[in-house]
Amino acid sequence: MKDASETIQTPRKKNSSLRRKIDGNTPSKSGRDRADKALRASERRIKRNLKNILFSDNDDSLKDLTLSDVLDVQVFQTIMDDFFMLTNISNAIIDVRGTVLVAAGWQDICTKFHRVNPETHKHCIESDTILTKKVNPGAFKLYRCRNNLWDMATPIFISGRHLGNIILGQMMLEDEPRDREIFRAQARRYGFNEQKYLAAFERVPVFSRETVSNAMAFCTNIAHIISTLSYSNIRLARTLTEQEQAERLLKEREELLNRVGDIAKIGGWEIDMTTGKVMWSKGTYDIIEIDYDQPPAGLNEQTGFYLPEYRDMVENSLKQLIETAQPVVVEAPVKSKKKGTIKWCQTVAEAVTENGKVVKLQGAVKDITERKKAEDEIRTLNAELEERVAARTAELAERTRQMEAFTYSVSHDLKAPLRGIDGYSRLLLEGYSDRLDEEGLAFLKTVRQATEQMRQLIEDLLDYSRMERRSLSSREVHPLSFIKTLIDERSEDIAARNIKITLTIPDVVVKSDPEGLIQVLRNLLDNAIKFTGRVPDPSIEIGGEERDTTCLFWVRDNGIGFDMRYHDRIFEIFHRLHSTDDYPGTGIGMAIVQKAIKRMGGRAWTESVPGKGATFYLEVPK
Amino acid sequence: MDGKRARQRRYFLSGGTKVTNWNQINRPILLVEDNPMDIDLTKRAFAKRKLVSSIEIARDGEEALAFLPLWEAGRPLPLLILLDLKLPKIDGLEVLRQIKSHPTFNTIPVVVLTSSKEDIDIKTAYELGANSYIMKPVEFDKFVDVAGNIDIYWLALNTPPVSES
Repeated sequence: MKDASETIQTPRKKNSSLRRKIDGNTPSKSGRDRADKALRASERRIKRNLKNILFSDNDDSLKDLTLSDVLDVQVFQTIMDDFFMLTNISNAIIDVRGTVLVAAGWQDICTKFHRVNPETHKHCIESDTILTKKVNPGAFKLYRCRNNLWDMATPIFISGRHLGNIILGQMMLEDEPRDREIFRAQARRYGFNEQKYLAAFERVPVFSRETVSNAMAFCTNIAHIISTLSYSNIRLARTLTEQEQAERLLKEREELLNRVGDIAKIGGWEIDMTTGKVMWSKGTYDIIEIDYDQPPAGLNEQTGFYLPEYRDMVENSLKQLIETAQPVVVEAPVKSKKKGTIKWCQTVAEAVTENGKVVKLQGAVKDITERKKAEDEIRTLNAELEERVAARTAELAERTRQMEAFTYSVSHDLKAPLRGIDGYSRLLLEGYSDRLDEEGLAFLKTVRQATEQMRQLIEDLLDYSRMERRSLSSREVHPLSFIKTLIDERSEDIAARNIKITLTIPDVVVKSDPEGLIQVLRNLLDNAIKFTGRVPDPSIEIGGEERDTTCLFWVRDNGIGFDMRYHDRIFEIFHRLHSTDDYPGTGIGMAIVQKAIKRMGGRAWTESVPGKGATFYLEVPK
Repeated sequence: MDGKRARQRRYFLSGGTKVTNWNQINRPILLVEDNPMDIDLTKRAFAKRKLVSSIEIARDGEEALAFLPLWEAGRPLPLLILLDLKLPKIDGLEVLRQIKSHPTFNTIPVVVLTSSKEDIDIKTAYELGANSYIMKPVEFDKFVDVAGNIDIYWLALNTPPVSES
């Protein structure tokens, strides 16, 4: 052991005897209390120090670990104090940066001189750090420190990393010369009080190599314990932390699940078919109204919540699920346990199979009471609506029937008295005109005019009514030939008034109701003839244009026209824009046009400038 | 009605041939009409057209159908029946139905003469076997024209079946 840098492998079994020796040195009660207190304090400290490391997911998280983070300094100070008392060997636990964590029985030469003078202190740090490098775990190294005392070091590895050393030393070896001159020279070089320094040197203990080797073997064991304990602690703490995190996550997830159940009024359940174990989520407890800390209902009581008349149906569905392993959906009302309220529940249940055998049933049960209520309301509303529709339809049918009876009666009866007035006034005029004066003749003429007006009104009204009621046919028709025929019908008027007629209508074929179309075109032509009655050069253009799905026709005149403000009112029944004196009429013709064209699926509209004529457009489907 | 005048009734058709309708001699027209004014005006309208046949009147459906047993008993059959539709007691369509379902009298021409131009009336009338459907005009002048046309067509141009009674 002459080599200052030799390393010695210590057999592990030797440590056990040392261990027993230490165990035999039972501390006093007060000592135990103190140790307990220190233990608790150190737990807190370790926990705090480890916190950052533990909450890191990174595998490299241990790289910032220092020995002070994991070493329970107070416990080891006690142990190393005891060790000093037993062996009289100065010792220390020093981390790799030279920080002294535990120190026991240090020599004055070190504490009062070497560690005080900056230069020698630097030697101490160098010795503690550099000279202690590259020693394997479980081995130790004997070396002369930079201030020429003997030290021994054994490393503390945690998780494969060298974090510090246990150092024994501040001693002289028996088989080494005790060279006072070296220390005298040191006293002079560093300006120590030579007398006191040498006196301190004289107090430095001397040990045999065997003694220090045994002591070192013990310390190596300590180092090993520190290493494994610390690492285990970290591992344990880490596991605990991970478990804590996992538990917290699990708890958060459960809370979320419960919350979701609350929000959606939905619960889950599971029945283990082999063990009969039933599990419910909170939502199911809430729906059934059983306290969450109670066990769920047993396997055979699951359908008991349903109203009796639904139980068979629910049980059959469950049987079906077990037999076929195909999902089932059940909607049935349950009676809640606490309040006894009836809740409609929809359960969607599925089977979990293993090797084709159903081992579990899982389901989601949802409170659909609100939906059911809404559905009932909709059903009630629909029924009411249907009743109302039926009643209204009957009412309408009755009105239509009455209207038809009325029209029929008008058609037959209203004209008869008129025929009497017209007939007898005519006979009066024929046979008695020589016995009437001029005024009497004028009265008679007015009676006949009024009769004619009444007749026209009745005819137009009946036409309008017929247009409303008659069934339409759909045939291929030639609007151009209709127009030509209509012009021919009116040829006397047209010739008499010298009306210029222009035909620009293409010879198209449209599928339409012939009677309706003729009526519409006739009314428009008559309208144009009527309202060009007072213009000097009357002219009427009848035009047309084929479009994709429709045909557009127009009748354009240069008559008196009208104010566009009234363009819609023209088509209203009995609505007239001009006085009957100027332009006689019943105000029904355009209403018939509108009625007919609408029934034929087309539309009619008009454009005009007062004094410059009007154009009436018809758009009918082809 | 005097037979001399009846025999003198001749119509000039295209080509100028004179035709005497011997078959109409001594046979009346039956007017089924409830409105007294219409009865009077119809008579006057036909008078204006110098109609020679006598006009028998039934003032409602019941009266019209009462002619059936009379005809069966040998009363001369009418040349033509002018039938209004809207009648008290039994309406015109029912009268029409009974006449046209009669094994013998169904051959008597029936002209519906009415105010209505309701599709349903026209359709039903023809379905029941009406021979013609004519709108009764409100204007007397036109009514006279209609009467004239009825006279020419049904009593001169048209050849009714020979009366068996």
